[in-house]
Amino acid sequence: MSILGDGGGISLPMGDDVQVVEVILTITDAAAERLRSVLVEEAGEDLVLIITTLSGGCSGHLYDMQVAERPDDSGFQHLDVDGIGVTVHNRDSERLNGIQVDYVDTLMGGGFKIENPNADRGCGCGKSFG
Amino acid sequence: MGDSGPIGPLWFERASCSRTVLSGADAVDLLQRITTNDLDEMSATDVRNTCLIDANGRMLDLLSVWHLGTELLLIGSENQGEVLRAHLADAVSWKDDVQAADADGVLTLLTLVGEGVDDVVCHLVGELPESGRWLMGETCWCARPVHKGEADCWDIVCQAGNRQKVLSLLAMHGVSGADEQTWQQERVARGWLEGGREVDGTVIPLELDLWDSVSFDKGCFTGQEILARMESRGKLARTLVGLSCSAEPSLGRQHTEAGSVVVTSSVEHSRLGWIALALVRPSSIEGDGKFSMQGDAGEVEAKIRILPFS
Repeated sequence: MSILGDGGGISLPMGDDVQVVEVILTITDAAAERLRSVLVEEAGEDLVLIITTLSGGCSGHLYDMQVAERPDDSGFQHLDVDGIGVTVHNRDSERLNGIQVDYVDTLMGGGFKIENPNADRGCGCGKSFG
Repeated sequence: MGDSGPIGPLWFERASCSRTVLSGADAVDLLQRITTNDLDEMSATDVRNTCLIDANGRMLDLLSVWHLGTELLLIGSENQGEVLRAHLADAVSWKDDVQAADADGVLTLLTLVGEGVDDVVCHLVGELPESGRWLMGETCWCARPVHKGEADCWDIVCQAGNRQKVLSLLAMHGVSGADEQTWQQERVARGWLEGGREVDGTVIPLELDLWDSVSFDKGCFTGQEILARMESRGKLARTLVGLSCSAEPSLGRQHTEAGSVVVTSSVEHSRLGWIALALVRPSSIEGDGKFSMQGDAGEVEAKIRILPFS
């Protein structure tokens, strides 16, 4: 039973008021090599890299990267970057336009790293931006 | 309450505090990512305070979160509803299963204060809710506000359709409705924060003594680095105190012999005289805590008091 009862309240728009831009992004050779191996390991059909921003992290937004089947939804932009399928939701388009996806391999722990020209700030651990 | 009590029992309608209901599988996770307190372990009937802050650690809203099982009720501070809802709308990702409803017109929020309110709450919801938990009666939900040391104070939430019924029950138990002036007297004397006065975009939660609304071990949240740095250094730039004043002080920032002072609220209390809430340098509390400041009608003598006034 809802606390709102029969009144229902007024539904609030969530994430609708965003500017949609056509996303252009780049992937470094190191990241592309790593991504291709991940996509081969997953061995599914029509797999893509989905890059998302989530609210949170010290600076306000976190990156989320996931290999998954290409979503069948008009809200996404599907890119082909050097033969790698990349998908970005329109809600994230302004924040992710112009990013460069890199892969660093260090003794202290490596991984994918995103350089974002739209970010004014980042946190100490490098996982969030604002 | 010492000098400032006893009063009542009285009820105040908190119409300017936003009431927002979140639902969906990711509602708790969203709040966990964007607010200061650890909400992950909350279960149904829990009530917890948390702060919505920006990446610079500045307060956007102070929220009382009521876990209702499949929904979360967020009670915001005064006049911050638009800020909260704009922030939520921006924070929800396409991946988040979160829905939000503006419940301002659907839910009524009352605060009860004064002697005897515990008995009234027992009549409304059957027994006294445990600290940090809500209980539901036939007409309303009831929980003690998550303020420090409040023994004679309860928040009541009811559906708007039950408002008159609840007010009749309160009247039957001798609880009177109070006006804004009386509310401000109680609020300032107890050191309670108000949206747009103490809670605004310039202040950091720790400066408002909201340590119990911040988790330092839950992991990242927006603004966390700023708060963690302040905590590890053990130094605050300013802190919220009470002021006993000889006359009405001017609101806002002024420079005094105690350093920069920002008076956020003031009221003429029926027993305490002119009292105020202000942000001062922590070093100002040392010594006799007396200083002069500007009032609307000339110089005002002020003395720092630890909150609540007692």
